[in-house]
Formats: sequence, C-alpha cells, structure tokens
Amino acid sequence: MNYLWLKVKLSEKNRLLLKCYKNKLFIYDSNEDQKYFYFKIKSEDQKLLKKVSYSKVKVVDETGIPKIKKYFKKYFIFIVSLIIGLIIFVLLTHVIVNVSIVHSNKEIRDLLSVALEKKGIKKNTWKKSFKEIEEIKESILNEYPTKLEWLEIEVKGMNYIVRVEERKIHEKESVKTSCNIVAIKDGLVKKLIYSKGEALVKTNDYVKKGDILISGTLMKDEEVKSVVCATGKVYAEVWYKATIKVPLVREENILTGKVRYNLKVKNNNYDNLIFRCSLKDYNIETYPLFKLFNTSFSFVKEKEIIKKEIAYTDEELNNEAERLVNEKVSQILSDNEYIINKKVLQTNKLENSLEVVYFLALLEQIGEQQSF
Amino acid sequence: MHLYKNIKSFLMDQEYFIDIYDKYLHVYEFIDILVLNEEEISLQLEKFKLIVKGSDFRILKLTKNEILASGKVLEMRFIS
Repeated sequence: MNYLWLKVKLSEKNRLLLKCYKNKLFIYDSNEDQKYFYFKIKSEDQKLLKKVSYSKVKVVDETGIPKIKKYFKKYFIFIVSLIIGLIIFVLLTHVIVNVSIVHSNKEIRDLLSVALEKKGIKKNTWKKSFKEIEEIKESILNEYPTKLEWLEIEVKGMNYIVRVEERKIHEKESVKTSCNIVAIKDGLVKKLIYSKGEALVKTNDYVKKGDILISGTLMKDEEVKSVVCATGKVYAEVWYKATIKVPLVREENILTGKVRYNLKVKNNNYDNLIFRCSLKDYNIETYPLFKLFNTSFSFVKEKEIIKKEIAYTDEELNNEAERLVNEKVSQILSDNEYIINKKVLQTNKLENSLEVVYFLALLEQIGEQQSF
Repeated sequence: MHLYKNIKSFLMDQEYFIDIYDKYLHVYEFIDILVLNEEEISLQLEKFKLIVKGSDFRILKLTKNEILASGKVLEMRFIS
C-alpha cells in the first residue's frame, strides 16, 4: 500500500482533522513536533486534499512503490553499475580462462590436452559442474587405460588444474636362479643382512673388489646341495681420500638502499617489465597484485646492489671446506650409509684458494648380485 | 479480501468497541465526530453520544468508523 506523509502547522491541526473526517480523508498514523503536525494518508486520497482545501499542507515523505521509484531515479547510475558489476562478476566466476596440466612427461600432457579439449575442458569456456567433471574424468581414464593411472581435475578460481599419474607397466624382472653377492669395492665388513645364500665373510673381515661375499651355492660335506640366487646386503667401511678447494674470497651482494619501482606483466610464462631499470646490478622483489585471464600483474621493487669481495677468515675457510666435503659425500651416500670418520690429512694454501685433503671412512653397501 | 472480511466480521461481532488504556482511547464503529480538540473528544455512536474529557489528546488514527487517540482520560460520559 502506498502512503503519503504530510505536514501542517500545529495550530491548524484540529480544524484539519475535522475537515479530513468530514471529507472522508482518513488518517492512518500521526506525529507532531513543536511546530508541525505530521499525518499519514493513502496516496490515492491525495485528490481529497483539495476538498479539504488546505493549500498549506506539504508532502514530507512517501512510502511504497513511489518511494522505490524515487530512490531508483536518484541512484539510477549506481544501481545500473551495481547490476552490471554483478553480472560481470557472475560471468567471470563461471568462466575458465586457463587449463594447466601438471605432469613432467610432454607426451602425456599433449595426449591429455587433446582429450580434455574434445570433452570441452578448454580455455574461455563455461565451468563444468562437479558431475560433468567426474564423467569426463571417468571417460578419459577409460579411453586411455594403458597410459593413464589416475586423473584429477581441480577447479581453482578461473583455472582448471589437471593432475595426472602415468600408468607404468613394469616388465617382470627376469628371475635369476643362481647368483652370488660380490664385493664391488675394497672394504672392512661391518654388517651382513641376507635372506638367501651362504655368507662367506663375517664382520671385520677385509674384502677386496670381486670377492664373493654371499654365495648362492649351498654346500654340505663338500657337496653342492642346492643353488639359489643369494639375496642380501653387505655394509663395509670403505676409505677415501677427498680433495676440496675453497676460494679465499667470496662475493657478497650489498644493498645500497637505492630502490626503483616497476610493474611486471606475466603472460604465458613471459615476464615483461613496464619500465626499463636504470640500475646496473639489482635484486628483484615481486609482490603479486592480481590475475586477469591468462595475465598476472605484479608490483616489483628493484633494489640496487654492489658486489663486494670479502676474504674468508681461517675459521670460515675450514667451515666452508667442511661444508663442501659433507655436501659432496651426501650426494654419493644412500639410505643406511653414513660417514664413520673424517680427518684432515693435509692443508695447502694456494694463490687463490685453500686446498684441503680429507681422509674419509664411510659405511657403504658393497655387495652386488652377479649371476653364475 | 472475502476471507479477510469474514474473519473480521467473525471476530468483531459487536456493534461498537470503546477501549480505554492507560494513555490511549480507541473507539470503533462510531458514526460522527462532534468535537475534537486536545481536551475533548465527542463522538456520536448509533445509540448514544460519547463525551470523553481529558488532556493532551492526540489523534493517532482516524478513519471512517475508527479513532485512536493518545492522552489522559479524566472523564467519560454517555448521553442517550
């Protein structure tokens, strides 16, 4: 129902009320302050006001549809912008702008990209429902049963991230029937673990490369009882000499405090800086701003640096040599293998570097299966 | 609307209502207003005349047959 709020001087109130009543102009609510009397009538009764002949009555407010119309007129641009904005927002949240397939094998990526495209999973298309995605996943897996093991399509914002596991069919290893475990390095046996065969060495035996450690030939009373493939691991202490060279000076980047600001636009893995940097050497700090379709925008801080050569102290040189030798050794060691002992044999100070010769005792697995 | 009218006539089967609350006066089914000011409200009902005297009378609602006023009621008279 549409109503009008009107006001009249307080002194006119009683006369107005009686006149209103006589002319069937009904009042549905009223209020007053020190100066005016406010009253609510139906909008359709406005014409009766003339009969009341009260020209001093002023419209203060209105309710219902006229008020909504008035507001709409007043805020037309805002409302239209809001509606357009909402439509764009809904559109953008339902559109896919990028499909990325996560797998190291290019062949799998290409194969999947074609299969997904056929099923409608491609750039600049509407988002699929959960049920549709599940159906697509199942149909692709059924299409390539020998190539794909598992497939997941994840919706992240406006992107599809497709994770896939390649099916690897392992050829059955040829079953060896007769083999020994032979030493591949010289060393002092420290630990023997075997499930098949007969151990020919024991802990603290010194073995040479090529020695049989665990035999696949099972003997009894100097007679061959049976032949098996020896299975097990032999851990031995193996000795090495390692030479490490450490430069006497190191290069360090020192920040000068000069900073330049830039904007980075990344599109299809290509970085483009908007402004050319005037600094010679600098570090970059990136602050992502937003992503629009396939393009991401970032704010970049370019911090000037000076490269300075700093000489190592003796202690730092030793620590660096130690770090390098540990790093080198850790690259060749596997599980259950470790450094038993480490000693510096010799230190030579060269023109630009320090040469440190280490003696290393490592616990290593030295047994290898060899058929006979 | 038909349903509304039926319910209304079912609930309000009286000829008139005169309700007096602490600070309000409600009269339903009156015929005419005789006097209306801050100190007095006189109404013509079908079978009698109602005179209500008091102070600070303010009209909150006024329709064809219903009046709701706020104010202090001091005296009430029915004249046949």
